[in-house]
Amino acid sequence: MIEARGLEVRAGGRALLEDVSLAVATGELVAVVGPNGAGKSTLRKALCGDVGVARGEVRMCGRALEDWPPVERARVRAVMQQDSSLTFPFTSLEVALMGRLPHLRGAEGVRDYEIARAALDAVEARHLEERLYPTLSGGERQRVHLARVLAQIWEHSEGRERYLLLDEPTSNLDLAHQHSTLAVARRFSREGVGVLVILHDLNLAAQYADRVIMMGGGRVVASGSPSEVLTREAILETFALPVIVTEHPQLGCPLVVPVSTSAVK
Amino acid sequence: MTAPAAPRLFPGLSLAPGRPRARLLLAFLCALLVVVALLAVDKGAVEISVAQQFSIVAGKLGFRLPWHFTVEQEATLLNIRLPRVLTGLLVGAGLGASGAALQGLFRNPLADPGLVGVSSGAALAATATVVIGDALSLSLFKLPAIFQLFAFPAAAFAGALVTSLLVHRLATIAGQTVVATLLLAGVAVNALAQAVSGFVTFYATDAQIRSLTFWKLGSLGGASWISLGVLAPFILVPVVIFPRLARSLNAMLLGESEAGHLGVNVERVKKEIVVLVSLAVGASVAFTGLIGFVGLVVPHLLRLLVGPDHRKVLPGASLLGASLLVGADLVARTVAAPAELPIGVLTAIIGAPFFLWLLLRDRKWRVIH
Repeated sequence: MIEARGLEVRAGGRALLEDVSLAVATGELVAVVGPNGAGKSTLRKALCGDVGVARGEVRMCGRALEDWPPVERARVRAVMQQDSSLTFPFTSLEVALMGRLPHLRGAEGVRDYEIARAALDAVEARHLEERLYPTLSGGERQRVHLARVLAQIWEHSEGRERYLLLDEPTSNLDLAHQHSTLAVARRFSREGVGVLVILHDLNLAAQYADRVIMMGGGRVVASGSPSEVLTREAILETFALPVIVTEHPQLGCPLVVPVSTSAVK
Repeated sequence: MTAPAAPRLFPGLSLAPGRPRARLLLAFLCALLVVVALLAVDKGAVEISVAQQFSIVAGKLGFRLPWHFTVEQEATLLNIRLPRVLTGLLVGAGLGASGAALQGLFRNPLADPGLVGVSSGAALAATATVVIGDALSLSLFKLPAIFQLFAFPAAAFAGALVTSLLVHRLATIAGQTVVATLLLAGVAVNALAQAVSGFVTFYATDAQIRSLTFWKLGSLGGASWISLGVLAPFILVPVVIFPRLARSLNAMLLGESEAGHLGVNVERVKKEIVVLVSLAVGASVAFTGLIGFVGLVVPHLLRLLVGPDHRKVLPGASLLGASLLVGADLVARTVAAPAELPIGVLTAIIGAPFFLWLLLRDRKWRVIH
């Protein structure tokens, strides 16, 4: 369990997060949604210790985040950030292999290569394995980084829990890859990984998440199952967007359709 | 299923498993270094063939080999040639590996100890010791030789350390390196070093002007067994430790927080790199002056050959840097014999156009953000 209690993060006299409490259990996929500036990425940073918290604490497996030795923490939890600034010409396979770093004793073994290749397979990027990272498109890069973080927690280390934090993993992806990415995240959650994913697309959240956390103004404004959280009223209030929420014709989950107030076409 | 791979930047080089190839390359670089070093010992005002070299060294160790040599050859080899070539070897290894490590730290292939001002910072501090020493009228040149020998590298190390910390502080914003700031910080430190050396030149004695000129242009001419003995630990410690940081440096190329998420203790690795680079660059500058571009060119050649993996680049850069500098020194002292070309001039003639070429190429590659 990754547990945050009463998190407060301040920057320049302004509260980016205020009294945020949440938990991500193993085996569930939690989606965090919210408008720009709602504090989603700050929450992700606070959850993985990238930003100092003014108040509150984060515990992983019952142990305060700062009490974890860096390597052990990396064996249990993988984080994918929004932007990655790799400019050196590593191949995609080498990038994916970097995910194995916390598990290595000496050089990468056969198993590490197997895992890196399987992770590239999982994000449909196996054909890019020999390509140099700087030559990839934005979406391809994003998938290669996803492969890297998947490789990091591909197997559990000494039977411990595993967590995956993804910050807008679909921002550069085409529709098909958005869904395949969420499908991979969901598969990992079914294998016992606790997954937290920050999403902009409410329908992706509705389709794949077990729970949805809606944020607004640095606070959690709603939390629960997709159908509990993704309501017309909540979305209107938080996103200032009038929508119709109906039922997905095939999956039964909520389907959010924006309504244009100035419906000119 | 497998789509054809797009054209690679360096066709024919498979980097992925690559271990045998990397080992082959390191073996080749070792061999190259041996050949260049033997050649460098051979050539000069007094020629000493490889057989005679062995004969002289063996003679010193109490063995007799059948190749004859003159007393002059023996004196030249033992007192001049050997310490000089070994100094070149150490300085080259230190500068090559330091360049590779700095480029990893700054996540940018343009970070060279000379360009970002670390070398100038070292020279500045070493020069300042002369000025301050004079001001306190306890000229370092009057101190026993052994103190001089330690005072200069120690001051240069401090100068290099302060400069690298300053430049790193200036150029890194929220874990991202701003290359423009990085290079501009180098420009500023270089300008300051210029000013101080100008100031010193104004007041300096002839002897001091000579040593200042030597710093500016670089030379291995001052090498002796004693200076070599002082230099060796400053260089060998970084060169041996750098490869242990290779994996962390690889992860840091992804970004500092990404490296942290992969379990790398980023702050510690950064400090270690800065201290080790300052040791190697500081001592090199103290004994051989400003020899630029070795730290830029060498890691680049390595990356072209084996890819960006620091586990291959760092040891490779030590070996290739050593060969390059010993070779450059050989050219510097033979091309215009009996006069000696300053080695820093030579490395700049090779290095500066290379730097320009990198700028042109990287414009396409968007390495300069």
